[in-house]
Amino acid sequence: MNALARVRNLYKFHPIDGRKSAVLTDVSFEVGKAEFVCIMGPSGSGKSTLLQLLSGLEDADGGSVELAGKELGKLSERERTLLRRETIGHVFQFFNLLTNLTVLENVGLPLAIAGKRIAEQEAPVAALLARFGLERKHNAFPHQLSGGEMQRVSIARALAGGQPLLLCDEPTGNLSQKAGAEVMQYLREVVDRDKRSVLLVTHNPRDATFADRILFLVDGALHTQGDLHGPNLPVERVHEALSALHI
Amino acid sequence: MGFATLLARKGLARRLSRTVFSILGIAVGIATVVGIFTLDHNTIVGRSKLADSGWQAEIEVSPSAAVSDPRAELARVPGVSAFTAAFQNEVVLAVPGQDRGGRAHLVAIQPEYAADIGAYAIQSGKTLEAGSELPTVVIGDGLARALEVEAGDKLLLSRPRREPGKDCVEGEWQRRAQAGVPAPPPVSIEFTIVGILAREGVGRLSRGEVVVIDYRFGTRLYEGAHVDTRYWLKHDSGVDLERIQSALGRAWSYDLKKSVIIGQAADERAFRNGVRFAGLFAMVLGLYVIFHTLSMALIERVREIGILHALGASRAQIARVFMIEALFVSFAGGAIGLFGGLRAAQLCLSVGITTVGAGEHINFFEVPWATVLPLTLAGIAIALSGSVYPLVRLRGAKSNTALRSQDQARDPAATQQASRSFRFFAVALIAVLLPVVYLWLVPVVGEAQAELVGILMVGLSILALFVSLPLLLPGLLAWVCTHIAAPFERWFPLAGKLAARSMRDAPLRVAGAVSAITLVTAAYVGLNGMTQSLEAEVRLWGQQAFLDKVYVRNLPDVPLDQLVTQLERYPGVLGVEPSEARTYLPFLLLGVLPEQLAKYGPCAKDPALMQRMREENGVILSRRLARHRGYSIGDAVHVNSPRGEVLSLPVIAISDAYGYFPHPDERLYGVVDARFLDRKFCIGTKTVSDVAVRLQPGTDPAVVEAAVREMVADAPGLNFENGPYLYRWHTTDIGRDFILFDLVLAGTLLLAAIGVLNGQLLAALERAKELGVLRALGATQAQIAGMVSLESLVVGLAAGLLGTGLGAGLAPLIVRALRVVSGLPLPFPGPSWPHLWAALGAVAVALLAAVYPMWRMIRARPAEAVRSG
Repeated sequence: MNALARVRNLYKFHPIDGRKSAVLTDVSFEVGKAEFVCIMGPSGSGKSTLLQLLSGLEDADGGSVELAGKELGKLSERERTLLRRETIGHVFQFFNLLTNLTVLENVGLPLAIAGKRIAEQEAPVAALLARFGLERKHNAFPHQLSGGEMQRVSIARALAGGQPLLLCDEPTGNLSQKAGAEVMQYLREVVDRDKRSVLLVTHNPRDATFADRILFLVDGALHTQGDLHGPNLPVERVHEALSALHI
Repeated sequence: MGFATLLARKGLARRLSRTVFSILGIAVGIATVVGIFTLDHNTIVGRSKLADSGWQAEIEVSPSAAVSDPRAELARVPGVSAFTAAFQNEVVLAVPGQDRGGRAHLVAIQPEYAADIGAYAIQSGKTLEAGSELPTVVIGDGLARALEVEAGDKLLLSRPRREPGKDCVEGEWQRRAQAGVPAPPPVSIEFTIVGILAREGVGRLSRGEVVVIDYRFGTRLYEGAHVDTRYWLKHDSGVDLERIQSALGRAWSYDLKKSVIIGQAADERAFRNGVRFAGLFAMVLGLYVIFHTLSMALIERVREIGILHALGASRAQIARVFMIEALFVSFAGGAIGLFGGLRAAQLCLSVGITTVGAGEHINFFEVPWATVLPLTLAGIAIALSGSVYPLVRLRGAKSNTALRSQDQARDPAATQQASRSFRFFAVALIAVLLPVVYLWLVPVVGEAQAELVGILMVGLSILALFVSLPLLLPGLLAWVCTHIAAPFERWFPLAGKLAARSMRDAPLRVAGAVSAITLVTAAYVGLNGMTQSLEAEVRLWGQQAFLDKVYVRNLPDVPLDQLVTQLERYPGVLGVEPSEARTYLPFLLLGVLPEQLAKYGPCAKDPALMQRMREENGVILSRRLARHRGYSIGDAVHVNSPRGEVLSLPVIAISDAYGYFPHPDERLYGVVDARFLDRKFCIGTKTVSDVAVRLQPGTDPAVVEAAVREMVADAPGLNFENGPYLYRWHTTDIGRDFILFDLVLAGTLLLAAIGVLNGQLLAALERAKELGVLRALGATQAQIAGMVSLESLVVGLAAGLLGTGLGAGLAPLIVRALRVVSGLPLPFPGPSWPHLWAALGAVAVALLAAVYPMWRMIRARPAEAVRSG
């Protein structure tokens, strides 16, 4: 499989009380094209750190991270930024929409960053708003939206730039059950319909059932527990795996 | 629209209040300095234009008999940058072989020095050549047209045949022939015209009907006749006039061109410098307010930067966003400030407010672009630097923490580091660079004496400290405020606790607000101390000069001796001083009857002074004149008589007891025997219309009116002014003159209020979630408002106390600087009621500035605030 993202023997340390503490220990995995990978783990297991290493927002202390065939450690900061712009879309737990931009402008932001003119942004943005049911909210500001709506805007923004890989950090963490399920459906659709890859980190077993493959991050180390391949894996299987890992 | 422009526009529009107030802060600061400098420029130029009535050398001097080598002595006088010998007279002209001629104004000058003093300029042809053996002349354009001559033509110059002039001889004007002076025979010399004068310098004299020749040929032409040779000097603007006058005063008589002295008198210099420093203060405060707002806003922008970076925006793209915002705010503020300042200067002039006092209307206005544009650009550049620096600094900050953080109020370490670094940068900009740039563009008026510079540096250092301290150590002021707020918790538990915690958690905001109001309060107290000191000086001076006097005006030419006899019948009348006998040579000389001075002042203590006045032409100088010109008892004052002789008057005493008259209000004068003025200047005092009557302390001033009315009962327009009335008049004058300072102070108060308001608006944004939770838990709007009010009250109290203390410390410095510049014996001010008003005013400003932010906070909807992510 042609991997879109590849992590090899990744190490990351954070200073805690003056001593180096391992956040990630010898983590290796890949994300293929049009693949939905889920990494599960409890709070503090290093999931968000892993995503930031993968997107080039942090530097690894050991190992390598490859994105679209390029090793991040060998790129300059500017090169990493450009690679991230071309390759990765972000969906955050706390949405991270710009509060002074409307829904329309937030969704079009990646296109604007890429230098597209307003005329070039109109069609793809309109299509995304329609797809996620946001047409009537196109002039609203983030504080005027519900949590589910904000996350839909966030997903639309992540897709606007056409990046092949979406990194999703607990996207349903602040949503209701119904809104959360809706968001996961959208993400599944992104893989099935748009043929993009999704790397999801979550501690919610229900979210993991949407993935093609589930990995477990426990105390900074990655585990592959049994043959957990989806999608549509029964949630009980996920619970079993979590129990086996004492999570 | 590009990404950067879109985000910049959105950012400015979304934070509209802050954008507007930031622009306003820059605008008010720039408007103040532009307005002050433009006002000062137009004051000096406008009054100069009023004073100029033709051309005159800047300083014209005549040597006394004691000067053996005038040129050598003048070369040694400090502040004289160039000089030439010259005389002026009338001359008869004739074009040889033509029936054309007439009379013209003649100026004989030394050509080798004429250019140095800017005496004339050539429109066409050549200038006079120094040392030429051939008689050459340059003529005015008016004369060239009238005589139809040009360069190369010949012109015959003759001394006019005329009746001998008159001289004042022992109090009578006599023809010189009567005095035994023969009429000189006429002399004619043929000159060659080498050039035509431009209509400037001497070329303006007599509407261009003027001839200029070499001084050597002039003395030949007027050989045997009386020629009044003067020396024309050019003054070095870096040297105070008083120094030149002091150096000249010993052995020279001199006359100053009025435009040279406008704005250059010691008290005027003090006023103008004070106004200029007030402008610097306003600019510092304006930029300080902006920088403080920007520093506090850093936290809010960190998250935005993190998101953009995560989305793939490069550091350069992010920096461009903030650069566009900064450019807009800085240039908008600069443009509004520039034109606002010019308009304000125009308005001040139209209502008679100038930089040398109030009450004189100047119908002149021009914009000194050469200075106001650099000033504006300097202000814009500093504002821009301060706006861009923190954001450029932050663009490299890591995004991960910002992306994960839900609470915008948390400070990542990188933000704190950037904030600290920015504050050091801000201190360097506004406490060091800005004063240096400002003083380079707007120099001190007059000499930068070492003592004055030292005092100013101390004052500036104290101000710089008060600007720097809250930026560098915000915790210090916040600690003070937190402890002031603590006792309030007993009576207002919720408001007290929240206000104290809010101030503890936002030390930068609190420190900024406190120091902005402190600076303005200090300025108010300092200025008040200065006016107190000036009023005290007037009182001290007045006790000698006018408090025990009654001034009688518009008498119907009453014989002086009869008036004296009438007044002396009334008990308490000590003496009578007439106003009539006065001349300006080069300062005001008043003639009095020495015997009238016997019962008060120095003559009462030393009766020999009266004899010296009569026999030696002794002069008693006012204190201010003596201080300004550096005269001491025993020095000689040299004056020119109408006959051209230089008279030497010994200084026999220095006192303000004699000679002061309020109309016109002149404090630089000398008092001599009236008979001396009569003998030498034919200025008599047989009858008087204005007199000053000195009374015994405690005498009812009404006795003077009774005495005068008994003598001239039906005289129309009789006017009586007594000492207490004049004291009130002088002190009102001080207050009126200082209106300009009040205006500047009002501007700085506005800036301080903007700073507080901006800070509170930021707080409203930062605490939206917290306030939403409080409301959700049941806190009322009134309780929220109470928390904000209490915080503002504490800030105001802290600022009021600090500002009053700082101002009380600054006032003696200001007075000391004023003493050095003006030479006045200003007393140091003590505590007074305005100190209390200042402290209360600080509280009022803090409370008022919090009204709008409070309104924003209480009207925010809690549901939205809690939901925001």
